Amino acid sequence: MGFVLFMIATLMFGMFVLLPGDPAASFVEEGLSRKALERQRELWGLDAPLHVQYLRYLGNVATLEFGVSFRAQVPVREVLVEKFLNSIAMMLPALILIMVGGTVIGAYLGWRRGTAVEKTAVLAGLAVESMPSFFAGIVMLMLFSYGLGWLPSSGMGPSGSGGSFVATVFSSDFPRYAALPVLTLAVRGVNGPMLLMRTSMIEIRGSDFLMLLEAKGVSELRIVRHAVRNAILPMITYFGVLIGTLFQGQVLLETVFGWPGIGRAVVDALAARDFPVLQGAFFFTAIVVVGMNLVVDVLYGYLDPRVRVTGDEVRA
Amino acid sequence: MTRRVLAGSRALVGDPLTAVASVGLAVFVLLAVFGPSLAPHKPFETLSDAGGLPLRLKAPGPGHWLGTTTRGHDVLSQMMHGARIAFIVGVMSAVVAGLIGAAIGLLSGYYGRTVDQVLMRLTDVAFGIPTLPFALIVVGILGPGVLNTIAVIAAILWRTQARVIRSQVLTIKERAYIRAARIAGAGHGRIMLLHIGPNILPFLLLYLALSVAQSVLLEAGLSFLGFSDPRVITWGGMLNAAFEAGAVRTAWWWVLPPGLALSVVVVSSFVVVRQFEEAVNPRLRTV
Amino acid sequence: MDSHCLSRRSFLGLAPSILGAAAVPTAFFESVASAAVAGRPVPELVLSHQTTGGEPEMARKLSEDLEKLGLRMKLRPLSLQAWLDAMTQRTYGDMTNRVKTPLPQRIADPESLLFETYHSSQAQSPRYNFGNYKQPEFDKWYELQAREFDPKKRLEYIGRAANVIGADYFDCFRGNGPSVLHVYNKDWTGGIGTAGYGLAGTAFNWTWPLIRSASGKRRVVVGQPSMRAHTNPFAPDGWSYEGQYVFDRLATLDENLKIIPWALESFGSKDAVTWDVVLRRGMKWHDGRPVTVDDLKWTFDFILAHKPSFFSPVWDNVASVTVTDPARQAVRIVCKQPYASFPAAVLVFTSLYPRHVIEPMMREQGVSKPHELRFESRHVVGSGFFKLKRYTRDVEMVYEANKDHWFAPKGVDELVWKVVRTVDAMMGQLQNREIDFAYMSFTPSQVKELLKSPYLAVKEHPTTAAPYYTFRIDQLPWRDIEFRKAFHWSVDRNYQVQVMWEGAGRVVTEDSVFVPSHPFYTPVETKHGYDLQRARQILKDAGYTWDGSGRLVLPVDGDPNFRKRVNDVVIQYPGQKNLYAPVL
Repeated sequence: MGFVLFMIATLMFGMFVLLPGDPAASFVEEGLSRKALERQRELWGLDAPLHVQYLRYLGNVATLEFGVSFRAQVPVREVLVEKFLNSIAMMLPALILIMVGGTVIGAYLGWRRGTAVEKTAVLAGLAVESMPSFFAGIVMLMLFSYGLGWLPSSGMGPSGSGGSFVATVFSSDFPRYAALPVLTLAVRGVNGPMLLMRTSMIEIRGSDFLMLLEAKGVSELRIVRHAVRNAILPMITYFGVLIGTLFQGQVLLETVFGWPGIGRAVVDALAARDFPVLQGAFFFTAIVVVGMNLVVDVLYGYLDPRVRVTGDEVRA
Repeated sequence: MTRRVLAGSRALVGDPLTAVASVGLAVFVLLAVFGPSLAPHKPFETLSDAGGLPLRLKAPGPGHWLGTTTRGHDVLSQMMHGARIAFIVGVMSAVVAGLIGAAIGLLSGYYGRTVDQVLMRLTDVAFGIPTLPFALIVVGILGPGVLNTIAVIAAILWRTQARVIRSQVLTIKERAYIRAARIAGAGHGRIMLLHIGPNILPFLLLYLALSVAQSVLLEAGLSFLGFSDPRVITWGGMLNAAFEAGAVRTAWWWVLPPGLALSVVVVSSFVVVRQFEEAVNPRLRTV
Repeated sequence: MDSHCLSRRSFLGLAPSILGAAAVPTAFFESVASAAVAGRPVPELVLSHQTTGGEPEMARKLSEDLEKLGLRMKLRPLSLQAWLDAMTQRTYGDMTNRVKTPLPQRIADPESLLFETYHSSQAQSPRYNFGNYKQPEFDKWYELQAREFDPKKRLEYIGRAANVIGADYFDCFRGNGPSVLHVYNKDWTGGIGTAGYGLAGTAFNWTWPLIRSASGKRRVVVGQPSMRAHTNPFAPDGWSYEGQYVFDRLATLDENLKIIPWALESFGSKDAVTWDVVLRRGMKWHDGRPVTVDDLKWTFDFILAHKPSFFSPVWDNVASVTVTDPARQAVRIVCKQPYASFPAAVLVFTSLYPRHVIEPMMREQGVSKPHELRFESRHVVGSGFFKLKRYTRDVEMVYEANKDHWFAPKGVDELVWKVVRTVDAMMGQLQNREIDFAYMSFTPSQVKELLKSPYLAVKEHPTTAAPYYTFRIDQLPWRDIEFRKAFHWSVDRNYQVQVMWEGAGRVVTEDSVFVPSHPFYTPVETKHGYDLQRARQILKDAGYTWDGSGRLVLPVDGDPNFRKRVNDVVIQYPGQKNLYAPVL
């Protein structure tokens, strides 16, 4: 894992070096003298030879200290914590909905295999998951915000609520603002675990052990409980992958819903060439993704190979 | 193996849902080939009224059957032109990703040991990279354009292929006929290409088909964020234009066609792939 | 920069050859643009453009038209930072878009418009004369106006300078616009907008202290698409616009963009280099302490000592600052050279800062440069009519009215700047009254949609923005004035105004740095329009031909007119050899 992270860090450094655009360039507009421009670059350490910059960068990576944001002029840590928290405020409810919803619906569909309900649900799940996330978000906005006027269209709360993170998230307005992004995430995300759970249930249902229980005359409800308990294991690995995916930040959904999360922060930092924030955000994301992949690898034995088809992490 | 592929194709026709999906894909391919020549207007032609003023944000009607944009461009024509880029990017990225992934998976699974270690760590690295931000940075370096988009998407998607192919190779290479070939003195290249290759082909095709859908989605995402060549119309680019123009609230005719087209292409390929997968991998048929 | 052999840029081979006439590689992965050669097809022209404000669409339209003339085009969309970098390093290729919007604090100052963009001393990386335009005739008129205190004469010189650029067919202007269309809730009355900045702007805006709500609301919410990432007024991308509510400027612009004293009772010049200013009486800092003449003197000294990058250019000309009469709160500023734009460039540019807050901050935070300071909300202590109450990055900024101010807001207790990222959301929030104003200019069709809500109204202001294309005039084919002329006839200005701006703008027929509503506007005699047929004819008459595939071919080497146009017309500056290296 250390090696992989090191490689990712190095790769990113290479990309940032190749990226055209000088963060100090925007200051020339204000009539900054050439000297002042170089002073600014020096201050940001951009004047150092490349290998020094690289070593400094590796030092940052090792200590998880990425210096001061060029743009916000505060330590990168503060920016990252702020943005990740905002993203988590959107992801966590969605994750819970996906886990609970996927498990329950999947178990039900697996148990009721072959019915019209099952076929419709599988198809609907597939159709929703096939929509590009930003299009799904736009459709949600068209329906519930612009059309019916039930829910707000942008941001994390009404004006004046922008105090602390805790105050924002625990305000009574937050659920209304979070509803659309969370629902969009959840509706699209639920398909994977739903299919997975359904498959597991079908397999377990056909297993000898359940037939034995059935033969013993155990009630259906208890059999379902047994079946669910056994089917739930692959789900855990699935959620490992899912957390990694969600942690990348939902750049597209954050754009559509004007959510000040880590995904938008990365895009903004990219546009402003705010290298410290980019490095920090990328690396923290990589840690989570690699860590979650490690968890998945450990549990790989439980993971059915066909899960990889429906559970692939690449989703636009 | 050929039999399995054939069975797969036969299965596509059998199931009504799959048949519908196949029609969806066929329409997509036809649009990609003939769309630009059949489209009533050029994608960036500003339609004007009798007085020479641009036909701005007109709802669907005669002459512009899917309405117009804020700049008086015909949505239907943009849709038809957009199919080609979606198709090219989708297929090309999938093929490139498939070839890279297959090569890495094959080498890794066949040679094992150090080669496997190195290549699989490489794959781990690829898995650790956040997809969209990575794509945005690479497009920032290379500049937007169809070829660059294909390169970026292929650079992301090969990782899944590599892992899957490797695990397939691991099981295949222990089979008796492979061992026999080895004992008979067949070279590594020969074994990989002639003996293992055909066995992994169906899986490769399967993942290739799957990554077409993923490429289409990724390309749409990049275009939606504005990272595309302004001279080339794409479905994601259309959605970006509508979003930037603040037309989502009113101009449903501008938003829904490209979005639905993307969804239909993706869902169709998922359905077709699923059917194909069941044929290729009979174990799934019990499910 | 050259000494760091492994620095980021030079490592990539991107180090620009300053003043180099040869084509500079435009980006790492792009093939080096092949230089134009007489008698050969014009090489593929690279057009770098920004990704906002409809630029991609205009770039697409332009390349479509230029391709009709037989040119090959390559478009490079660049985000703001990459674009600025490409511009300052001169790696943008052949041409690029730019918008001339006079900076708010400099609107009455022709310097930033003329000097920075056209003066020969600025024709080098990283300066802002992006086309490397060098024209002694222009320099002459510019320098005359800079020393001219008589407004009438000054205006004449500025007009002459503008006409030189027009006659040279340098910088192709595309239109004046789009008009500033601000939509707001009618409940609020009494707001006053300014040209170019509109009703709900952050700069030189008289709306916020003057508006009142008919329904008795005391809190006004303004939506804006993005906000500044920090509150440090000294940072290079300073907190300058919003900051002026908090930090009183010494002078400011009224709604007609005329300079009026603000934190000063008065200002005036004793002679061409000596300026006397008198501090306004009875002012207080937000923490209750009085504003003294020492604060004024300290502010000058502080800026002179640190030259926070934001301020540096104008302060280079200041020789001394002294308190001449403590009782009258009078201060004298002596310049090194006569400087007609002093009030606009220095007084309007400078805010009052509290010594008792900034000095301890510098000590406690252990920083030597003010732009490294970290400003928490409590550090933002000014004397202006609003106090900063709360700042939440990328979410909102809340200001509180300063009741002690001599210009205290009448109808507003709290002013909230809220980030509303998307256009749709901005429109939605205006319609459902979540926001009262939007700091965003809408298009006519969006306005039409918004006005379906009976409680919304629109206010239109003329623009000060003039988008144009600039190009590398020191490179072929742009060195040839006939090519530039043909280019000028290939830009569809009507498309810009009618299609892109939906008619809310003005079609231009001349290259003028100043929009007609600008106090320094003078008509430019050289006129042009959009006529591809005519462009083709100009090229044909100038000796250009087309090859079998329809590509435009430069006149042949032996063409004496071409040789003269490209080589002899341009005057070499003393000590600047090979500025325009012979290419024929």
